[in-house]
Amino acid sequence: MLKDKSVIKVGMAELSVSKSPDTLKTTGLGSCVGVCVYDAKAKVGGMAHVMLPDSKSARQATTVIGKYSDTAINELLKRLSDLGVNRKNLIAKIAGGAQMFSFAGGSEIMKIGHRNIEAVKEDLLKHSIRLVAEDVGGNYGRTIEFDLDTGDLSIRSVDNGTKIL
Amino acid sequence: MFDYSLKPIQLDLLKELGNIGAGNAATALSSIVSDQIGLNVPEVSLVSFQEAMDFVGGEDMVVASIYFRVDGSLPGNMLLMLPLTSVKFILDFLLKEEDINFSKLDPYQTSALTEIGNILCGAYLTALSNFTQQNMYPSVPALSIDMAEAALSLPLIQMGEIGDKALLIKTTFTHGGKDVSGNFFFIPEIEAFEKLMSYFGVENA
Repeated sequence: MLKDKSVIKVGMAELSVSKSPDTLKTTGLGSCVGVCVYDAKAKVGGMAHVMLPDSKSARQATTVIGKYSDTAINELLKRLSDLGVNRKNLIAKIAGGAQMFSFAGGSEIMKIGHRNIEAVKEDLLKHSIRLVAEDVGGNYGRTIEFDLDTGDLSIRSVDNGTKIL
Repeated sequence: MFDYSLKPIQLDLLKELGNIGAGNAATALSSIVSDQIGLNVPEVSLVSFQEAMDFVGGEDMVVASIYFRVDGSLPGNMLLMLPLTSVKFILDFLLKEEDINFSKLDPYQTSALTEIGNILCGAYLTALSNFTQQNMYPSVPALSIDMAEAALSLPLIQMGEIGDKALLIKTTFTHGGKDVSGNFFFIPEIEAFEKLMSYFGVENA
């Protein structure tokens, strides 16, 4: 019997894994980065909504593992291996990391989107996950949906319509 | 670890602060549009980041957000969120301009809107600062017309650097004719929250 297709919502600082025909979705990515990893052969994948670059810079230990790039990607890979996914088959697509507000001068926190993008790329590289597509930066919000049947990542923004990576 | 829940007395105090600040801002807005602006009882929550996102109404609604970083002895963030109908009303009222292209505001429209934000945020913080005897300095305003959740992510990320939850004081205002409505979000940093509580003698002992 065919499994019903469902859309799994991934909240801010959260992460989730699933398989075809499900879709993973996160809304209103601003400076945060949506990280999607996928095994096309097994049609299994995951998504994390990352807020901050590095758990080591945290002022205190966290229990919210989806919050930081390093802990979120570690956890995604762990949950995918638990589902029997071979890490060698994994590819990644990322979106987000915008600068929603701009000030004259600008402070460090305003550049958090850029720092998040850099951190996510480094962490993927560290785990030898190939980054095949990205839609990052800019000054606008994005809502993304990751189709685990096709591996398509659809990205919607207010002024730029929808694009598929 | 800042992970305790709010006691009823702390909740009441924060609600009252929200009332005082937003009340002052609503009075300012009333005099700008020469009509009465109503206020709803503030909602105060210590919530996860996702729950905080749900506070703006979820599902990528497009709003005008005017953001301020607040420095001084009660640091935090302020966000004024206006639905596009409110923006249209305000710009029509101030500039007599009915045709507004939200994706490309001209400099006058942007300036009028951020100035409204400045006045309201200033009124909010002045009331709070007088009441608490603490200094609060807002940054220059920054405007974004985009998904509400995406705009809220910046103050939430700042809270994320400190802990795993955000303290949100949200006050909704409305105009009788529904032409103007919107939300004030005041998101004090944990340190500011603790200072406030000790100032009023309601520490989390």
